[in-house]
Amino acid sequence: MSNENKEQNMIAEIKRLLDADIPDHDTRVALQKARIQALTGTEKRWQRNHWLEFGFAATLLAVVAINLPQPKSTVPTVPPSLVDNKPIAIVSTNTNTVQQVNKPIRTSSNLPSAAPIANQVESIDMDLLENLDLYQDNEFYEWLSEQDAQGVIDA
Amino acid sequence: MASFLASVEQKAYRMAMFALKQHDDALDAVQDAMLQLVQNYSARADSEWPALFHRILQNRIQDSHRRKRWTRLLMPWRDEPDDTGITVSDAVIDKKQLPQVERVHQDRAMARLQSALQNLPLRQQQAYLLRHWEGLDVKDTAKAMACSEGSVKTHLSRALAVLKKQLAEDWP
Repeated sequence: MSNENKEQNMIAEIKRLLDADIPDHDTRVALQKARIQALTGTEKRWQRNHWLEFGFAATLLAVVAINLPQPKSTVPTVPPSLVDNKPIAIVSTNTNTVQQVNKPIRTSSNLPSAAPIANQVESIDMDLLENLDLYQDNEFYEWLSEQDAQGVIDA
Repeated sequence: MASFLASVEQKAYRMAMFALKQHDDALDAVQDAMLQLVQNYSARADSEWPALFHRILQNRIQDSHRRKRWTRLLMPWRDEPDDTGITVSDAVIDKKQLPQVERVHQDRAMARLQSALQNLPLRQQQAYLLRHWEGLDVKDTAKAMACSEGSVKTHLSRALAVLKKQLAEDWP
Protein backbone atom coordinates (compact mmCIF):
# COMPACT_ATOMS: atom_id res chain seq x y z
CA MET A 1 0.00 0.00 0.00
CA SER A 2 1.45 3.37 -0.99
CA ASN A 3 2.01 6.16 1.50
CA GLU A 4 -0.77 8.20 -0.02
CA ASN A 5 -3.21 5.33 0.35
CA LYS A 6 -2.14 4.82 3.94
CA GLU A 7 -2.73 8.49 4.61
CA GLN A 8 -6.17 8.39 3.01
CA ASN A 9 -7.07 5.30 5.05
CA MET A 10 -5.96 7.01 8.23
CA ILE A 11 -8.00 10.11 7.43
CA ALA A 12 -11.05 7.97 6.67
CA GLU A 13 -10.63 5.98 9.86
CA ILE A 14 -10.27 9.13 11.95
CA LYS A 15 -13.39 10.56 10.36
CA ARG A 16 -15.32 7.36 11.06
CA LEU A 17 -14.28 7.43 14.70
CA LEU A 18 -15.12 11.09 15.14
CA ASP A 19 -18.50 10.68 13.46
CA ALA A 20 -19.35 7.71 15.64
CA ASP A 21 -18.55 9.53 18.88
CA ILE A 22 -21.51 11.81 19.35
CA PRO A 23 -22.00 14.01 22.44
CA ASP A 24 -24.04 12.66 25.34
CA HIS A 25 -27.73 13.35 25.86
CA ASP A 26 -27.32 16.36 28.18
CA THR A 27 -24.93 18.04 25.77
CA ARG A 28 -27.25 17.43 22.85
CA VAL A 29 -30.13 19.01 24.80
CA ALA A 30 -27.93 21.98 25.73
CA LEU A 31 -26.92 22.44 22.10
CA GLN A 32 -30.55 22.28 21.00
CA LYS A 33 -31.46 24.96 23.56
CA ALA A 34 -28.56 27.11 22.43
CA ARG A 35 -29.71 26.81 18.81
CA ILE A 36 -33.29 27.76 19.66
CA GLN A 37 -32.08 30.73 21.70
CA ALA A 38 -29.87 31.83 18.84
CA LEU A 39 -32.74 31.60 16.36
CA THR A 40 -35.33 33.29 18.56
CA GLY A 41 -32.97 35.57 20.43
CA THR A 42 -32.60 38.10 17.62
CA GLU A 43 -35.67 40.06 18.68
CA LYS A 44 -34.74 39.95 22.37
CA ARG A 45 -31.19 41.03 21.67
CA TRP A 46 -32.47 43.94 19.53
CA GLN A 47 -34.80 45.05 22.33
CA ARG A 48 -31.98 44.88 24.85
CA ASN A 49 -29.77 46.93 22.54
CA HIS A 50 -32.62 49.40 22.07
CA TRP A 51 -32.85 50.01 25.81
CA LEU A 52 -29.09 50.13 26.09
CA GLU A 53 -28.97 52.77 23.37
CA PHE A 54 -31.70 54.75 25.09
CA GLY A 55 -29.90 54.57 28.43
CA PHE A 56 -26.62 55.55 26.84
CA ALA A 57 -28.19 58.55 25.11
CA ALA A 58 -29.85 59.71 28.35
CA THR A 59 -26.59 59.41 30.27
CA LEU A 60 -24.73 61.29 27.58
CA LEU A 61 -27.32 64.09 27.66
CA ALA A 62 -27.04 64.35 31.44
CA VAL A 63 -23.26 64.52 31.29
CA VAL A 64 -23.38 67.23 28.61
CA ALA A 65 -25.95 69.24 30.58
CA ILE A 66 -23.83 69.09 33.73
CA ASN A 67 -20.65 70.05 31.91
CA LEU A 68 -22.13 72.90 29.84
CA PRO A 69 -19.95 76.04 30.21
CA GLN A 70 -21.55 78.26 32.86
CA PRO A 71 -21.99 81.99 31.96
CA LYS A 72 -19.41 84.13 33.76
CA SER A 73 -20.70 86.15 36.70
CA THR A 74 -21.07 89.88 35.86
CA VAL A 75 -20.60 90.92 39.49
CA PRO A 76 -16.91 91.60 40.13
CA THR A 77 -15.36 90.12 43.21
CA VAL A 78 -14.05 93.20 44.92
CA PRO A 79 -13.10 92.92 48.57
CA PRO A 80 -16.09 93.97 50.71
CA SER A 81 -13.96 96.49 52.57
CA LEU A 82 -13.58 98.42 49.29
CA VAL A 83 -17.19 98.14 48.27
CA ASP A 84 -18.99 98.91 51.52
CA ASN A 85 -17.33 102.23 52.35
CA LYS A 86 -15.43 100.69 55.21
CA PRO A 87 -12.26 102.54 56.18
CA ILE A 88 -8.97 101.19 54.88
CA ALA A 89 -5.81 101.35 56.93
CA ILE A 90 -2.75 102.48 54.97
CA VAL A 91 0.63 102.12 56.60
CA SER A 92 3.33 104.47 55.42
CA THR A 93 6.70 102.82 55.80
CA ASN A 94 8.65 106.06 55.46
CA THR A 95 7.05 107.82 58.40
CA ASN A 96 5.71 104.85 60.37
CA THR A 97 2.26 106.43 60.42
CA VAL A 98 -1.11 104.89 59.86
CA GLN A 99 -3.68 106.68 57.71
CA GLN A 100 -7.33 105.87 57.31
CA VAL A 101 -9.02 106.27 53.96
CA ASN A 102 -12.80 106.47 54.12
CA LYS A 103 -13.40 106.82 50.43
CA PRO A 104 -13.81 103.54 48.60
CA ILE A 105 -11.58 103.17 45.60
CA ARG A 106 -14.01 101.35 43.40
CA THR A 107 -17.50 100.02 43.86
CA SER A 108 -19.41 97.32 42.08
CA SER A 109 -21.46 99.98 40.29
CA ASN A 110 -18.62 101.79 38.56
CA LEU A 111 -16.55 98.75 37.60
CA PRO A 112 -16.88 97.61 33.98
CA SER A 113 -19.07 94.55 34.17
CA ALA A 114 -17.22 92.44 31.64
CA ALA A 115 -13.72 93.33 32.76
CA PRO A 116 -11.64 90.43 33.94
CA ILE A 117 -11.26 90.19 37.69
CA ALA A 118 -7.48 90.27 37.46
CA ASN A 119 -7.58 93.69 35.75
CA GLN A 120 -9.98 95.00 38.36
CA VAL A 121 -7.73 93.94 41.20
CA GLU A 122 -4.74 95.48 39.42
CA SER A 123 -6.51 98.79 38.95
CA ILE A 124 -7.53 98.81 42.62
CA ASP A 125 -3.90 98.25 43.61
CA MET A 126 -2.76 101.11 41.37
CA ASP A 127 -5.32 103.46 42.93
CA LEU A 128 -4.15 102.48 46.39
CA LEU A 129 -0.55 103.27 45.45
CA GLU A 130 -1.53 106.65 43.98
CA ASN A 131 -3.42 107.54 47.15
CA LEU A 132 -0.51 106.40 49.24
CA ASP A 133 1.79 108.77 47.28
CA LEU A 134 -0.71 111.57 47.69
CA TYR A 135 -0.80 111.14 51.47
CA GLN A 136 2.95 110.87 51.63
CA ASP A 137 3.18 114.15 49.63
CA ASN A 138 0.71 115.73 52.01
CA GLU A 139 2.83 114.73 54.93
CA PHE A 140 5.91 116.12 53.20
CA TYR A 141 4.23 119.48 52.55
CA GLU A 142 2.94 119.63 56.14
CA TRP A 143 6.45 118.94 57.41
CA LEU A 144 7.88 121.53 54.97
CA SER A 145 5.44 124.17 56.14
CA GLU A 146 6.32 123.39 59.76
CA GLN A 147 9.99 123.76 58.93
CA ASP A 148 9.27 127.04 57.16
CA ALA A 149 7.34 128.29 60.17
CA GLN A 150 10.20 127.42 62.45
CA GLY A 151 12.74 128.95 60.04
CA VAL A 152 14.89 125.80 60.01
CA ILE A 153 15.40 125.77 56.28
CA ASP A 154 16.50 129.34 55.99
CA ALA A 155 19.07 128.82 58.66
CA MET B 1 -30.88 28.53 9.02
CA ALA B 2 -32.37 26.23 11.68
CA SER B 3 -31.56 23.08 9.72
CA PHE B 4 -28.06 24.33 8.95
CA LEU B 5 -27.35 24.99 12.63
CA ALA B 6 -28.79 21.61 13.59
CA SER B 7 -26.47 19.95 11.09
CA VAL B 8 -23.30 21.61 12.37
CA GLU B 9 -23.88 22.05 16.10
CA GLN B 10 -22.55 18.69 17.28
CA LYS B 11 -19.40 18.82 15.18
CA ALA B 12 -18.90 22.42 16.23
CA TYR B 13 -19.20 21.44 19.87
CA ARG B 14 -16.68 18.62 19.45
CA MET B 15 -14.25 20.96 17.68
CA ALA B 16 -14.58 23.49 20.48
CA MET B 17 -14.04 20.72 23.02
CA PHE B 18 -10.85 19.59 21.30
CA ALA B 19 -9.56 23.15 21.43
CA LEU B 20 -10.88 24.40 24.77
CA LYS B 21 -11.09 21.14 26.75
CA GLN B 22 -13.94 22.48 28.90
CA HIS B 23 -17.60 21.61 28.41
CA ASP B 24 -18.96 25.04 29.42
CA ASP B 25 -16.42 26.97 27.35
CA ALA B 26 -17.15 24.82 24.32
CA LEU B 27 -20.90 25.26 24.72
CA ASP B 28 -20.50 29.03 25.09
CA ALA B 29 -18.35 29.22 21.98
CA VAL B 30 -20.88 27.29 19.89
CA GLN B 31 -23.81 29.32 21.21
CA ASP B 32 -22.03 32.62 20.50
CA ALA B 33 -21.13 31.46 17.00
CA MET B 34 -24.74 30.47 16.28
CA LEU B 35 -26.07 33.74 17.67
CA GLN B 36 -23.65 35.86 15.65
CA LEU B 37 -24.37 33.93 12.47
CA VAL B 38 -28.14 34.39 12.90
CA GLN B 39 -27.85 38.05 13.79
CA ASN B 40 -25.31 39.15 11.23
CA TYR B 41 -25.28 36.74 8.33
CA SER B 42 -28.72 35.17 7.97
CA ALA B 43 -29.31 37.30 4.87
CA ARG B 44 -26.26 35.80 3.13
CA ALA B 45 -26.49 32.92 0.67
CA ASP B 46 -26.80 29.45 2.24
CA SER B 47 -23.59 28.34 0.58
CA GLU B 48 -21.63 30.93 2.55
CA TRP B 49 -22.90 29.83 5.94
CA PRO B 50 -20.47 26.94 6.64
CA ALA B 51 -17.34 29.06 6.12
CA LEU B 52 -18.85 32.01 7.99
CA PHE B 53 -20.02 29.88 10.90
CA HIS B 54 -16.67 28.17 11.28
CA ARG B 55 -14.83 31.45 11.00
CA ILE B 56 -16.89 32.90 13.85
CA LEU B 57 -16.42 29.74 15.88
CA GLN B 58 -12.66 29.61 15.31
CA ASN B 59 -12.32 33.28 16.23
CA ARG B 60 -14.26 32.63 19.40
CA ILE B 61 -12.08 29.64 20.22
CA GLN B 62 -8.93 31.69 19.67
CA ASP B 63 -10.28 34.45 21.93
CA SER B 64 -10.95 31.92 24.66
CA HIS B 65 -7.45 30.51 24.23
CA ARG B 66 -5.91 33.97 24.61
CA ARG B 67 -8.05 34.74 27.63
CA LYS B 68 -7.02 31.46 29.26
CA ARG B 69 -3.36 32.17 28.56
CA TRP B 70 -3.62 35.59 30.20
CA THR B 71 -5.56 34.18 33.13
CA ARG B 72 -2.88 31.54 33.63
CA LEU B 73 -0.19 34.23 33.47
CA LEU B 74 -1.87 36.75 35.76
CA MET B 75 -3.58 34.36 38.15
CA PRO B 76 -1.51 31.18 38.31
CA TRP B 77 -3.30 30.10 41.49
CA ARG B 78 -6.47 29.65 39.41
CA ASP B 79 -5.58 26.19 38.29
CA GLU B 80 -7.88 25.33 35.41
CA PRO B 81 -7.75 21.64 34.68
CA ASP B 82 -6.70 21.04 31.10
CA ASP B 83 -7.50 17.44 30.62
CA THR B 84 -10.90 17.16 32.24
CA GLY B 85 -14.05 17.34 30.26
CA ILE B 86 -13.00 15.26 27.30
CA THR B 87 -14.09 11.72 27.77
CA VAL B 88 -15.00 9.07 25.32
CA SER B 89 -18.71 9.57 25.08
CA ASP B 90 -20.95 6.93 26.56
CA ALA B 91 -23.65 7.74 24.08
CA VAL B 92 -22.03 6.23 21.00
CA ILE B 93 -24.93 4.46 19.44
CA ASP B 94 -22.84 2.30 17.13
CA LYS B 95 -20.81 0.96 20.03
CA LYS B 96 -23.78 -0.83 21.55
CA GLN B 97 -24.06 -3.05 18.52
CA LEU B 98 -20.38 -3.99 18.51
CA PRO B 99 -18.96 -7.09 20.17
CA GLN B 100 -17.19 -6.52 23.47
CA VAL B 101 -13.62 -6.91 22.13
CA GLU B 102 -14.20 -4.60 19.21
CA ARG B 103 -15.83 -2.03 21.47
CA VAL B 104 -12.82 -1.99 23.77
CA HIS B 105 -10.53 -1.61 20.77
CA GLN B 106 -12.61 1.29 19.45
CA ASP B 107 -12.63 3.04 22.83
CA ARG B 108 -8.86 2.76 23.01
CA ALA B 109 -8.45 4.07 19.48
CA MET B 110 -10.81 6.95 20.21
CA ALA B 111 -8.94 7.88 23.39
CA ARG B 112 -5.64 7.93 21.50
CA LEU B 113 -7.16 9.94 18.68
CA GLN B 114 -8.61 12.50 21.10
CA SER B 115 -5.31 12.82 22.86
CA ALA B 116 -3.44 13.21 19.56
CA LEU B 117 -5.88 15.84 18.28
CA GLN B 118 -5.82 17.77 21.55
CA ASN B 119 -2.05 17.87 21.54
CA LEU B 120 -1.89 19.40 18.07
CA PRO B 121 -1.15 23.13 17.94
CA LEU B 122 -4.43 25.05 17.63
CA ARG B 123 -4.01 26.08 14.00
CA GLN B 124 -3.06 22.59 12.87
CA GLN B 125 -5.99 21.17 14.81
CA GLN B 126 -8.37 23.67 13.19
CA ALA B 127 -7.03 22.98 9.71
CA TYR B 128 -7.29 19.22 10.10
CA LEU B 129 -10.80 19.17 11.59
CA LEU B 130 -12.24 21.70 9.15
CA ARG B 131 -10.71 20.10 6.10
CA HIS B 132 -10.88 16.38 6.84
CA TRP B 133 -13.76 16.10 9.28
CA GLU B 134 -16.10 18.95 8.45
CA GLY B 135 -15.26 18.47 4.77
CA LEU B 136 -14.65 22.10 3.79
CA ASP B 137 -12.47 22.56 0.73
CA VAL B 138 -9.11 24.31 1.03
CA LYS B 139 -10.59 27.66 -0.02
CA ASP B 140 -13.37 27.59 2.59
CA THR B 141 -10.97 26.30 5.23
CA ALA B 142 -8.73 29.26 4.50
CA LYS B 143 -11.73 31.59 4.81
CA ALA B 144 -12.78 29.99 8.10
CA MET B 145 -9.27 30.25 9.49
CA ALA B 146 -8.69 33.76 8.08
CA CYS B 147 -5.43 32.76 6.43
CA SER B 148 -4.11 31.90 2.96
CA GLU B 149 -4.71 28.59 1.19
CA GLY B 150 -0.96 27.96 1.35
CA SER B 151 -1.01 28.26 5.13
CA VAL B 152 -3.89 25.79 5.31
CA LYS B 153 -1.90 23.26 3.26
CA THR B 154 1.14 23.75 5.49
CA HIS B 155 -0.90 23.30 8.68
CA LEU B 156 -2.56 20.22 7.19
CA SER B 157 0.65 18.48 6.19
CA ARG B 158 2.19 19.14 9.61
CA ALA B 159 -0.93 17.91 11.39
CA LEU B 160 -0.99 14.74 9.28
CA ALA B 161 2.68 14.07 10.00
CA VAL B 162 2.09 14.37 13.76
CA LEU B 163 -1.05 12.23 13.69
CA LYS B 164 0.66 9.52 11.61
CA LYS B 165 3.46 9.39 14.13
CA GLN B 166 1.19 9.31 17.18
CA LEU B 167 -1.38 6.91 15.81
CA ALA B 168 1.04 4.51 14.15
CA GLU B 169 0.14 1.84 16.69
CA ASP B 170 -3.55 1.93 15.88
CA TRP B 171 -3.19 2.27 12.10
CA PRO B 172 0.13 0.70 11.11
